[in-house]
Amino acid sequence: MSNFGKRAAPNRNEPPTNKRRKEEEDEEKSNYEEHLAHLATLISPSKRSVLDPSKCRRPNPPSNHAKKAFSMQVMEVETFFEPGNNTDFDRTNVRLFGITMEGNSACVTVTNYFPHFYFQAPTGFAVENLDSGQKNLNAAVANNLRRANSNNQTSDVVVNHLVHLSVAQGEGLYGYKGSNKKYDFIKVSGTTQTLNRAKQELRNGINLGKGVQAIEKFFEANIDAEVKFMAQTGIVGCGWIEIPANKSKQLNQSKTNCQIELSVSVNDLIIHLPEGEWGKVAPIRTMSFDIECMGRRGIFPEPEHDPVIQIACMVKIEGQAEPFLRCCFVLGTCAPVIGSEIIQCPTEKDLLERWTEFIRLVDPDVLTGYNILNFDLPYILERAKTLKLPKVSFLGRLKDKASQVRESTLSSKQMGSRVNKNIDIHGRVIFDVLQVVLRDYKLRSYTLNSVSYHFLSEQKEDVEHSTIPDLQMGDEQSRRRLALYCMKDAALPLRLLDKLMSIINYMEMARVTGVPINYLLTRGQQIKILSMMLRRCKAENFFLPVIEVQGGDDVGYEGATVIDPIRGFYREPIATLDFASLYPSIMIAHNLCYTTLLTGPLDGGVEGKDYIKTPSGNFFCTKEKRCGLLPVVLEDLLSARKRAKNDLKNEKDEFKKMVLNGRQLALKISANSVYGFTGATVGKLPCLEISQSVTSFGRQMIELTKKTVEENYKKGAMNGKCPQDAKVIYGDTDSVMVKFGVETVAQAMEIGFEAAKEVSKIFIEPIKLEFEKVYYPYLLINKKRYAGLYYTKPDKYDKVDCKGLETVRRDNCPLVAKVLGKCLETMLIDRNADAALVYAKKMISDLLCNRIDISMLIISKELTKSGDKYQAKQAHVELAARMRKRDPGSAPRLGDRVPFVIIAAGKNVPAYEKAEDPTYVLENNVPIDFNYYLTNQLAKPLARIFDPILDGKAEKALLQGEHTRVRTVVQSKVGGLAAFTQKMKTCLGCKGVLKGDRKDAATCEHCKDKQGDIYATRCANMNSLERNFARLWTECQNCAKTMHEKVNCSARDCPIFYAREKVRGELKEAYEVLERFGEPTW
Amino acid sequence: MDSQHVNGSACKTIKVMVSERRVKRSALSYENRSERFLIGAADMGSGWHQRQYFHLYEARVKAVRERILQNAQRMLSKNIKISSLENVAEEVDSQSTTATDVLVVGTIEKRIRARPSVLKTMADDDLKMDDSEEDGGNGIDSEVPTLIGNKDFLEFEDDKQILTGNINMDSVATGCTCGLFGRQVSGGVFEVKQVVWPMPAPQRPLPTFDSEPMIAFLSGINVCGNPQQDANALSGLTLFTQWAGGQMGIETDKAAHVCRVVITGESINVASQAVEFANKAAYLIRHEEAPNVGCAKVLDEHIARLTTLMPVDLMPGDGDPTVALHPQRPIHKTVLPMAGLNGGTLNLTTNPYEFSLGELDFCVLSGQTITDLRRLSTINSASKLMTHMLTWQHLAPTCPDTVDGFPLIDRDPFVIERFPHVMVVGNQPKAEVDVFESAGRRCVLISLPRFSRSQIVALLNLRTLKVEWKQFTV
Repeated sequence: MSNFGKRAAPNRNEPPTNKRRKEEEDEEKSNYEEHLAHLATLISPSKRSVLDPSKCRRPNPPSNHAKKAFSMQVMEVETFFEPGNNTDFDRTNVRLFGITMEGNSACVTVTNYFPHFYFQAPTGFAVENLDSGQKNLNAAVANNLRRANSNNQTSDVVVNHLVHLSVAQGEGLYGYKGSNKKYDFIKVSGTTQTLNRAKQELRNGINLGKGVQAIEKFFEANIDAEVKFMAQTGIVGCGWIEIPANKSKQLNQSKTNCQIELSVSVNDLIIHLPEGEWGKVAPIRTMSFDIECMGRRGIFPEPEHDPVIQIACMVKIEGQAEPFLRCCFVLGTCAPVIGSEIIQCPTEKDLLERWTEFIRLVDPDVLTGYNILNFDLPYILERAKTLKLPKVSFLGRLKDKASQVRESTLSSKQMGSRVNKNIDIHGRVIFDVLQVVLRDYKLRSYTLNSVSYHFLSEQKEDVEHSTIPDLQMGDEQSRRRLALYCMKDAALPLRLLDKLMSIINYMEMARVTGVPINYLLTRGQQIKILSMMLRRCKAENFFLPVIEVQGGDDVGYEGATVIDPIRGFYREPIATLDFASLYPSIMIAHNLCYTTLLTGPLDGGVEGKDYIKTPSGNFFCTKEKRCGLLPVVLEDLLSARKRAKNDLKNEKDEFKKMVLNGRQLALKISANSVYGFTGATVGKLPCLEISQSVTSFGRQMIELTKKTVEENYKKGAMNGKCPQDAKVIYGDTDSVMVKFGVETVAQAMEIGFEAAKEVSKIFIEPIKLEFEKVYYPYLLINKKRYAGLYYTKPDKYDKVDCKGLETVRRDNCPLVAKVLGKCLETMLIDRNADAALVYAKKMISDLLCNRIDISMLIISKELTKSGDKYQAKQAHVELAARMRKRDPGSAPRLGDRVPFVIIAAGKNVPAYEKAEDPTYVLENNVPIDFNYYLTNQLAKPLARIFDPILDGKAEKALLQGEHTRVRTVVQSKVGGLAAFTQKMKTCLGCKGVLKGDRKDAATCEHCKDKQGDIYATRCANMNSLERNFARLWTECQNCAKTMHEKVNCSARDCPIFYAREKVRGELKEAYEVLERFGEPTW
Repeated sequence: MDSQHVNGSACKTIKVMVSERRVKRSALSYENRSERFLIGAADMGSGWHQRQYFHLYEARVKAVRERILQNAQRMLSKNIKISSLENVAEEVDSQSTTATDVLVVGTIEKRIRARPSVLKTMADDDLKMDDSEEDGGNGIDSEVPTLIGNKDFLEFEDDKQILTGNINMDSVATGCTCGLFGRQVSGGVFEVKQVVWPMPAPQRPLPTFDSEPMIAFLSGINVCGNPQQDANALSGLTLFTQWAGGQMGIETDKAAHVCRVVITGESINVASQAVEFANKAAYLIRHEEAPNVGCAKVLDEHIARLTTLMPVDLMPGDGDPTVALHPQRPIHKTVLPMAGLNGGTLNLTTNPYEFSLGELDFCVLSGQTITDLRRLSTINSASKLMTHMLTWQHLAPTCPDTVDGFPLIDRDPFVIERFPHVMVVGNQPKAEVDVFESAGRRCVLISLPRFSRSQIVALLNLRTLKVEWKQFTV
């Protein structure tokens, strides 16, 4: 069940369409119940196989660990409330979950840490007032608590220590006030809960010694407790901590399922930076799992009704190649699977409970799978509720905390808005591979199948949901089959993680930014920057203010600049000058930061020396006055990236290259998102002054670069190496494309290097113009649309680089990308525009003759809400409704992507009725609207790339002409007049209708002599069909890894799915035609 | 054009001369036993095109299961029984120390990384994924480079039962059905002590001949439509016809002993051109004929001349105008109108082709199945591969996996049911003769080179079972 489709929440309120359906459902349901009851009787207790616990358990922990020095890698951090009593006060403590190098799981409770926030001391406040202020505040908070909970009986000890006040020296983050003077701030510490109350009371007004005063502005009061704790102590995500011998206490009452449980005061904790020896990685246990549910016909499985029938698990230790434990929990009997443990369970209750026991036994650090976050885990938890199995929800490491599901919306500029489930599994990291892939890769499809194909060149057999009940209700062999699928679905995510190096890469990211690893998947970009800022602020005694989110995102400022392109097909080398990390380096160069922001010219300062005015009219002080925090954070990131890039250059191992590349990309993303962080008005620390200054500097620099290059590299410059005046033909955000008029890539590179070096001199460090690549040839179509052959070395090109063209866009049918890609390759690599045109014409002709594989024509859209909720009628919604009428079992459900093709229909048929299911089209020979594909899909993108070559006549050349005149007319088997037409056989030679005694023959009387030739020609075509038929179907057999069983695959996004269906029909027809020639022998 | 014209006139003269001095040829009883290779109405049934290939493997196991058990009882012990793999696994689970050896029957799967795969080809086209790892492929000097690498392994039945022990990659092929005697040593590994093949099919006693009749085999005329390229093969064929007709004035006695010619496929070779043709844009070829049309005409003329002399069996092979799925149906008579005129001496046959001549049993293959086996193993010699086939008692284990096959539902015609006296394979890189001898069976193995390259004809003396290679070059 790893179909991406299950991502969407099932629409539970959907009423059954009619009464019959309801009855059918009931009948089906009772069938299931009978079946389930039957299963329970099948398995006698003696047949139950038991997993060998010694295989599953972690290595034994050392005894008496509190007496020895102890270190572990921190995977998860959480804060919790510990109520006080008569002798101790309330606390917010922290639990750190992690693994030791020996592979033991551990939980360290950190005490004596108190969350806090700050506010600026009111004028006239003196240190002597602290005590009375604290007393007043405590009384107010206690009252507040009592109001909220009248039964609250709290001891005096607790009441007197609800909050604690102290004085701290520091400064608000925003603005430079002329000096580095620090101000008095009052630090309020306590528990998370009391701090919230204290904030309320402070807002209402408290007597802090000088009468009742209301406090409006707070600092660091809105930051996650965990992030604040980590910043405060210096712990980074996935970093190492150490506890010296005899500094920790062993808990006398075990609270968790961890092997080692310690308690330590925050002051005794040693934090290691993840460098050198402490850059190591503990043997992390990853468990991947997948569940199968018994769905009812046409309905997405609902945890209220549909049982879980199988759960497959794979357990692996990070760094090892293969999982050391493979198992599958099966409801009912199941034939054994070699190399795997099959655990047969008589009831669903038994299955779920044994699975949770298994999790607690294996004690994984990381839970993974495909879409477990939004499907498998919530389903299991919900199912446990329905069946009233409280034990099942204890998946985490805490003995007293069940796992809960919450909905959360994550919106980020990078990924758009999406609703995710949020699940607490205390002490374990949920690392959903789907989330990783969604975040890091742009793909056409995100089903497990197509993702596996993309990254592993491997697929799995994709079983249609509707066949699952049949397999379950079959015998132990069919359930074994299901178990095989299920285990494959659990194994593939592990292989993907391995291939993509995701866990290692994310761990690096956690270490760089300091946030726990699970934040990287569940939160946006902001938290990473915030964490880095917080650390830096702490070191320099700055406090982050709480900024109330105001209004929407519509406060705009001018963005980047684009130099108007001079369009055309350039057959000469075009050099590209790029600003390396433009925005970060602008911020560094001009010292743009919250802490350097001025409201106007600095009093008594000199512009340029003490302060600057940015092109957008904002003022910032210079480095001489104060070094900004952001520039420091950015410099750290950039130098780390430089190191990674250097290592990348020297690395020979392809695999490690991928890791390093991942790391440098992560650092680049982080550095670039700092700019976005300041511009996000709904964010934690917006500062438009910074972001608009950055873009204005950027615009200025691009213009300046253009001017300088064109002035300096005129004809004859560089000792005559420049054959003509340099011309900037295009520029965008951080790069300019220059035509130097030279003939070879090497020449362009020489001038390019020189130009980059020279122009860089006019900019402030570290802004640097870099020369990296030459395009030769270069096809400049429009703003943000271009393609070129990309050279970084003078002798060999690296790749074809396309920007903004349909080859990289996903909203078209694959044919467009394929034709466009091939045409561009021919034009750019072979430099043969004519051949490209011939190819385009051939593909158009193939399209019109129905020779294009239908999978190339499929457009798909996600079904996000049911039909009546869309305002206008939409093609894919209408189609889904139609498919449901045909067969409710296989129709797409909410959240599925609906694949469709556009079919030919009458003139006045509205567009939304022209979408059709590709399988239906193949089975029924429904004619496809080739004109639609030609004019609406292919024509524009192709015309765009051919226009520069054909002087703007491309569209005409492509849409008309000889190649469009031969068309195949497809005879539909359904709809219209199909039922009434009788097909007359025609002569295979002259296409005349056959009559009389020759009406079933191959040819008419006239063509009889040519029969042999016709036969041979037909054979030539048929042989290629036969080859396809055989190779496609054996491929499926091989992919499913079975020779003796039917392939049940219905992976619609598999590249051969439609091809193998189409060839069936075509081959049958070809054989039928052959039969018309009669017996082959005499 | 010119050469064709000359050939055409030559054709007439031969006819005249032959009728004047017709050599007397011995007539032997002939029986075509290839009925089972014909795809009949029952096989086509309704919806054959909707089938998958697993039926064929099922049918294969069913066909030889009993014979494997028989052989196992003969080789190992009378009491041996076939067990199932699943039960083997269970036995290990319950009493891992005392696991006993068992016999399991199933299908071998060679997991070869380099197995040709449509999907991989597509993925490579799209992504250019990692092909950096070079396996130590065996650079054996053969026509088709072999695809075996050292990371490959054997599997049994479905999924993940890896085989070790007394079994090696080259002694089996994907799709071979056999019994394995051994035990499971760990989770997914089965240690083979002995491989048990099906009991060899019965063989009839060798017939005796008073005269010395001969049968001629040739393969791979490979007419491609280009007169220059075709010249060697066609003139060689003409020479052979003249020799057989006694017109060369030499060896007329010997020629008279040749009572039948078998042409074992690949008479037309336009495979690559045909693919190109099928892929061309429709608007460019709407008035064109497929390239095999012209070739068929040339072939027709030449075969027609041969058929005036003696019966000619024409088998289909790769590229011949007929169906490509195995077993291949005969080339259609309509393609060879001239050759068909000569009183039924042209015999269009299936591939594989089994017949008896004077009570001697022949089994002839056009060669695709052997070529495919060679590609997927390190064995190069055709006769060695034929030996394997006879051991396996199967003519095409890799069909349908890597040799395109018809999706048969309830039978596997490739299982050997009568042990042949002579086995011939066409279109091989080298001419080879060998003898298979085992379990009281004896079979002459002949591997034919392509006529287009060698102009070699194999003449088999039916009495002595000796092969004479004769080359017909100008």
